[in-house]
Amino acid sequence: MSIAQPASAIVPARRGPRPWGLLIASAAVAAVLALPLVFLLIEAGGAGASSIVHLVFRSLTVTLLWNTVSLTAVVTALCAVIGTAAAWCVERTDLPLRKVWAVLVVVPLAIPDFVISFGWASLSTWVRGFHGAVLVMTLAVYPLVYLPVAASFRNADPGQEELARSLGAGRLVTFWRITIGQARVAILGGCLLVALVMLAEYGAFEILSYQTFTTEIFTEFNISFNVAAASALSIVLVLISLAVLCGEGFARGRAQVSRAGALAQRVSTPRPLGRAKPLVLAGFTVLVALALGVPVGSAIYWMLEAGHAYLTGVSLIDAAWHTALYAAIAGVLATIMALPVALLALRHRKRAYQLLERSTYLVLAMTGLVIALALSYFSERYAGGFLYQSAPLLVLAYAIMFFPLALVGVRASVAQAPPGLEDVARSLGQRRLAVLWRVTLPLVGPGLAAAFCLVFLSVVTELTATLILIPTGVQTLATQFWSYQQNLAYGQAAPFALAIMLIAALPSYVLGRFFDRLPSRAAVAA
Amino acid sequence: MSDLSVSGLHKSFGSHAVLKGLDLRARAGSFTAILGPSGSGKTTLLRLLAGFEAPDRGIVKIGARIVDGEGSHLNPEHRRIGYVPQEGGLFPHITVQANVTFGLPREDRRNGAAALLDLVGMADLAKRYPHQLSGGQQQRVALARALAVKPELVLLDEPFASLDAHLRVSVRDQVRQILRESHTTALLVTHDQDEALSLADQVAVLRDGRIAQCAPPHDLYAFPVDDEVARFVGEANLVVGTMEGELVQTSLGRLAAQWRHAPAPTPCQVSVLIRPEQIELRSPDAEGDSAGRVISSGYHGHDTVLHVQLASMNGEAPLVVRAPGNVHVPAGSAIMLGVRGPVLVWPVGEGQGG
Repeated sequence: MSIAQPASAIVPARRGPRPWGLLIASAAVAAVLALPLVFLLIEAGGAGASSIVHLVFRSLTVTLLWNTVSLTAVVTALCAVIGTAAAWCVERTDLPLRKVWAVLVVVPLAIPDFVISFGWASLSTWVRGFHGAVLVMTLAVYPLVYLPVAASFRNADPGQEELARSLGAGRLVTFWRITIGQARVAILGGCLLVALVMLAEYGAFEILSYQTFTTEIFTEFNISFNVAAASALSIVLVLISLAVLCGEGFARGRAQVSRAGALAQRVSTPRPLGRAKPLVLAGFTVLVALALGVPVGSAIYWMLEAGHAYLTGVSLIDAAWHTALYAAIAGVLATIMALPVALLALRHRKRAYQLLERSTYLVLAMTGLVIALALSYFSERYAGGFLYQSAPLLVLAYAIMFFPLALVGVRASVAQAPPGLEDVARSLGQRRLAVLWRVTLPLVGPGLAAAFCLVFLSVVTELTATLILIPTGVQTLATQFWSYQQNLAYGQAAPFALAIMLIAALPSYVLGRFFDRLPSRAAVAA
Repeated sequence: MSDLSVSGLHKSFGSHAVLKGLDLRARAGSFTAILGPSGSGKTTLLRLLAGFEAPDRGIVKIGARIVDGEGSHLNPEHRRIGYVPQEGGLFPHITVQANVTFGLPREDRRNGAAALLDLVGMADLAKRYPHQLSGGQQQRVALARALAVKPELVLLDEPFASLDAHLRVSVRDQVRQILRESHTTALLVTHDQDEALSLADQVAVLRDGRIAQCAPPHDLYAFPVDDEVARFVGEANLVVGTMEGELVQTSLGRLAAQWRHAPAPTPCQVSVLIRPEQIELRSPDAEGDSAGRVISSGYHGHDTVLHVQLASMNGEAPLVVRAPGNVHVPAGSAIMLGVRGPVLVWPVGEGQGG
């Protein structure tokens, strides 16, 4: 029973064994994620401080600021109301066909914003400008509020509402202080996502002829080739995004939603809608018709209208192949990048490691366009054209842009898997890598799949960065759709829009399953 | 199977010192219980022994091997220490069989589990998944998994805390039996004094980052080092008394005294430990009895716990008396009390536990 002590097993015993592998991997990921910001600053520095100041402080900036902020505020507020109301009706009332509505109201998420925008704008010239943008974007992004809020209603302890009633709070007070109170963090989180999408959107606004920071940056860079102006405006956009991020963090405060006792699902009694039932049903029907029916119907209409004149079989398959290929590689890359960061922050609870994880969320302040500009400008100007407009650079841009999404999926799973199991595995004689392979990865597997799907879905529906970084001679579904659409060839554009929706549908379904199963998995693990 | 020897173990988390120079020895093949209240550092001690964390200072030896100390820290996978966490910690994604053979070399995984599953009486459940097992079954599988790699020491972290009361006793006995049959050195942490006293060969009371006392269960209960240990390992009446020769004069009369250490010169003031079960209800005419009144009475079936205020006690706390369950004494009853056997005494002021 004697055992030789391998020399490598002995490490200096200062303050506990440090997870060097994880630490190095995470630091490398954080460094890659910081690249665009660094490039942006270099880029702006190249233009000179005085010219940047000159470019920022002009009347155009005020117009853009007003356009961007007012639209973002209105759409975010509308999404908060619609998303929360829909989530409450689906999760907490006796709404007929709840399961069906639960799917239908989320589907618009799988349709790119520019396709929804195209669907509306191609049918009526009325849908333009501010009110057009409010209509289209609200319909396109309210699921970003619906999803987290519905999950929070599902997981929140219905016992707290009963408790509030027993303490003398009336129905309305209970609804406001307990029901909405429990969902507050989720609502804020959803609003944050909506605001960030609004700041990053290009395609939808271009179609609606609505000018924001992002559309203007795109024009300056891609059409006027005015790099100084583009980077000056980019810096302002990054600052606005940072303000939104800080605002959300501040509003959330130290709020935490937890439930006392076991995670066992207590089914809450659905609230009867009573006489309001027909009204609520009508509301859901209108919502789904506007958000889902119009874009899908419009795409089908234009396709049928065009008839057989524009059969685009080969280019459609080619574009679909490139879209799926880039999305899959970016999904794998982002997931692999997220794993060490999540493991380090959750398994080795040290302040420095958690700060490292936090720092990666700064990527959220960089919209896709800003990341694409920074990478493309840098490769062209300073790396001698190395990787310029190449597939690896495009995939890297995707992985950086959607890293926060991957982290959310991986983090959820790592947090669910009890850390004690890894300790046990090591005490059974398994080295760290073996533990990772035999225990950690199988346990977080579903989360890795979810992270992959989130990134895949986002890449398939991405347009802005793709337009900048797409390799010459290659088309993805989104870019091909875009060029047809810009030439007003609606009949040729429509099949590409439908193909995007089809490819996006599968990962959306997998994701829905994953986030539905989270609480029950937690119960098993406990 | 090896001796465990821990000396001068220190561990702090930030500014919070959890272990402050802990010493502990356990003989090969013995069963040691670490008894301590919640937050006393029991789990930290186990995690240090298992190697999940490194101590700030101190030496941990298993047999002749130094696993911590002298500037080195042996990683957990090289320590050959089995670890059974609270609630078992079975891997939820693999079967019972795969759990048990987890630590074996690849070629032994197919057949390695049978004997161990037999040992823990789980042979017919090998193909099940952990969530299909009861809490007690999960604990037994966790133990089999820890024993599979033939560890030199098995650590059990409150393994019975999550079980129902009636299940706890039977699982506990099974675990004791299994460990005895496999001749494994075992260390169990618990906050349940009943569990510690009934299972272990020696019980170590962990207090304030150190071992306050380490002794066989009977010695610990009969000869606690101070007031606090006396109270922690069981209910205790601590009264003051005056030595008169071999006897001690207390509010319960003149009792036979037993010195914890060497007798102090008489006469002197002493602390007297009287366990509740040493006190009997007596008929009024017996010699040396004291009269009192029952303040409260708690019925537990097998016994009744009474709180009694003696007429002769001024300002002292009421006595706790454990009477047989078939004696019905409602609150307010007047009773006579006597003491059976010698009582433990030590000079007042000595061993006031921190």
